[in-house]
Amino acid sequence: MSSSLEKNMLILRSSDGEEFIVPEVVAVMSKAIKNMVEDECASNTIPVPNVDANILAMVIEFCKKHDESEAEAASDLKTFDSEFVNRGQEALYDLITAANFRDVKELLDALCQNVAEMIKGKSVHHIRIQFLGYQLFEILTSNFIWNIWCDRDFD
Amino acid sequence: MSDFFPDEIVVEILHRLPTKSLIQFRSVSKSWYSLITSPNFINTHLNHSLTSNTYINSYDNLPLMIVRQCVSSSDPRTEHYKLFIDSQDSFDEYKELEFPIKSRRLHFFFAIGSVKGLFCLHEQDRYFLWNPSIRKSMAMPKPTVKTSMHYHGFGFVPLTNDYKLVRIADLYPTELPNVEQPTTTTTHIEVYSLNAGSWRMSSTGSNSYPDGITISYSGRFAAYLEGAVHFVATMKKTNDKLILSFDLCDEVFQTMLLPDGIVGPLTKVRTSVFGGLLSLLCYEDTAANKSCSIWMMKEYGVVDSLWKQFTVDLSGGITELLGVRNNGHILLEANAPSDWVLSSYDPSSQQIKNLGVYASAYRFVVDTYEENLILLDKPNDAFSRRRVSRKRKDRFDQSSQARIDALVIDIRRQHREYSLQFEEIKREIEVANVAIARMGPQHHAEDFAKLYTFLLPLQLRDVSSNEQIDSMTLTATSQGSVMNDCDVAEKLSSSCVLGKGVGVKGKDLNGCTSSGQGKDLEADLIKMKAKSDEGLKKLSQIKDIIMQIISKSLKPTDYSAGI
Repeated sequence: MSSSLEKNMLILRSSDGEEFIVPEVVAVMSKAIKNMVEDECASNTIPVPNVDANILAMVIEFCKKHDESEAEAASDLKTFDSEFVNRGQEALYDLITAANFRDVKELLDALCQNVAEMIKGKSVHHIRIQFLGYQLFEILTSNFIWNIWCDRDFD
Repeated sequence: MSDFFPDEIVVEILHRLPTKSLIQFRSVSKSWYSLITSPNFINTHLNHSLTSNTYINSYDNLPLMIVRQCVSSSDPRTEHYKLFIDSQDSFDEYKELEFPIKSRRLHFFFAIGSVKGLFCLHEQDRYFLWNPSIRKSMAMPKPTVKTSMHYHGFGFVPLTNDYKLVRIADLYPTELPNVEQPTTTTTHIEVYSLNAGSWRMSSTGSNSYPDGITISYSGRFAAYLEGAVHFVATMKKTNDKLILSFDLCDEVFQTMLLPDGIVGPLTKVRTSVFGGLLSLLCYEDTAANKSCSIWMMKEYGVVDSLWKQFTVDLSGGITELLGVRNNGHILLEANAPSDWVLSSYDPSSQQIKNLGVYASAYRFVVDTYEENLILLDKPNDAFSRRRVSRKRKDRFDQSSQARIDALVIDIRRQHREYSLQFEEIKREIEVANVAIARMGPQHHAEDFAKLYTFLLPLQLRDVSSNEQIDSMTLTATSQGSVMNDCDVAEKLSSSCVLGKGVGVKGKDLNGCTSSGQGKDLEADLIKMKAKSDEGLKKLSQIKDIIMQIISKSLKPTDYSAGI
């Protein structure tokens, strides 16, 4: 690896060991990584615990786009944001956790806005299930009980 | 997403929600309730919606304007507040808001101001705050100085997140008990702060109040901008016009003398805010010249930056300029055959379009509709409620009371039945649980324990719903249509949410407010009864299923135990 590469590039290692080479300007959009770089405790590889390769790739894609398009029109960026965050709930949850943990403000903003859009017309009942993990009768009867009692073997 | 979000993320998400959702989501959990109603959250939510696009956070993502329409031809006189969609080519009515405060006199209220979605109104010495977006209103205490001559300014203090109302009262010698200088009037400055919840004489205000001026009465809002309210005043000696501003944070008066050439001696001047700038509306009313010029102050506080935006010809029956639309058109009040009508004026083509909103003169109010959670943390208004309930009880018709009582008894009975059924299921599960724990493999017992823990909280919630019905009927009957519909709606929705087990969904009733009138309450109760009927049916189905499962699962274990 050449020295120039090392100067401007950082290597991020996800929780499952995959490594990503990203420009420093992109990586420091995460305040947590920025602090590490400024304190010079990031020698060459920065471990990113709690974030797996899949999610880390998404976060890097988002940061790259935001870094490149600083000069671009804000409306373009907005459409990118809304498309980017339009994902399944599992990925959304992981992304929010990652963005919160690594302190990537732009991403967190976009994600929270997306969740807000998702839940703003929903009922209280719905929120309880989604946010607080309440299990309700509907779930009990339709899936939960049948899974537990009907799908087991009685030997 | 079945896991919990960290608290700070939940707060971030809630900040981005419109007020209507937040009002509903108060009943999600106790912690959400205390979070959403905390003053801190209310302030940060406001700041958030101010920094983002003005209307993007509103429930329907529409650019809305609120219009006050006072109809004097109807009996009794009614004050309407309507929302209009302010789009490029049209100005269509969206919905009417329910105005919760009833006047005790034949007059309409005096609208003192509207700031960040909060309205301030008064009638003699009764003062009210009203937040239409959460349907909550509040009566302020009465001011200490009694006088007939007063000027008001209402605004927001960004530094302390406070709302203040300043009342400038001129006291004539006859109104003072001990008169030392019998010929002069004295001026008292009184300030109401929402955070403090009380009126206070402002000594800094009295000290900085300039001598020798009179405030011109405009009958309009004193323009609020940059944390200060702005009046137009006249020097007594020279008859020069000036802008008198009162900084709501420091409570200090300041004057800005208008440069020559803007106003003549006969010009009527009003302050206003057009396009986010402090503006002066200068009405000329002479035989030769009937017009209104709009002067805008490009740089706040610099009188030399005043420039004439345009002039509207008033000879065509236009009486007043009210506000500006998103597309730059001016909303104004025009003379119609028997009434006055809200019209839209295009400055470039000078065309006037009738918007079809008829009302009596000089009482139109037009403002951008903003959503705000303010007053949500304030206690309900005991003062007004008491007053109203006495009147209302007389009007409350006996037969509808009887019907409501019967309905309440019915619903209670259903709830009791529901709890009994519930107990039965619980007992069955308990028995099965014990049996399985004794003889079955370990993980089966765990399954039962899981089921049991899910049933328990549901049952607890159901018991509390009985109390909720109590409180609902109590509030609805004792509380008039005048105050705090929001409160009843909230009780209704939470009772329904708590009665979740009975199949009542909060969403259905959140929308409908009991305005406290018997009819509405009755309709709500009938709805609730239907829901609990449905819920009972559902429960018995569930019971069947559970019984089936239990008998099925117990059989093999019994059998193996037998061996």
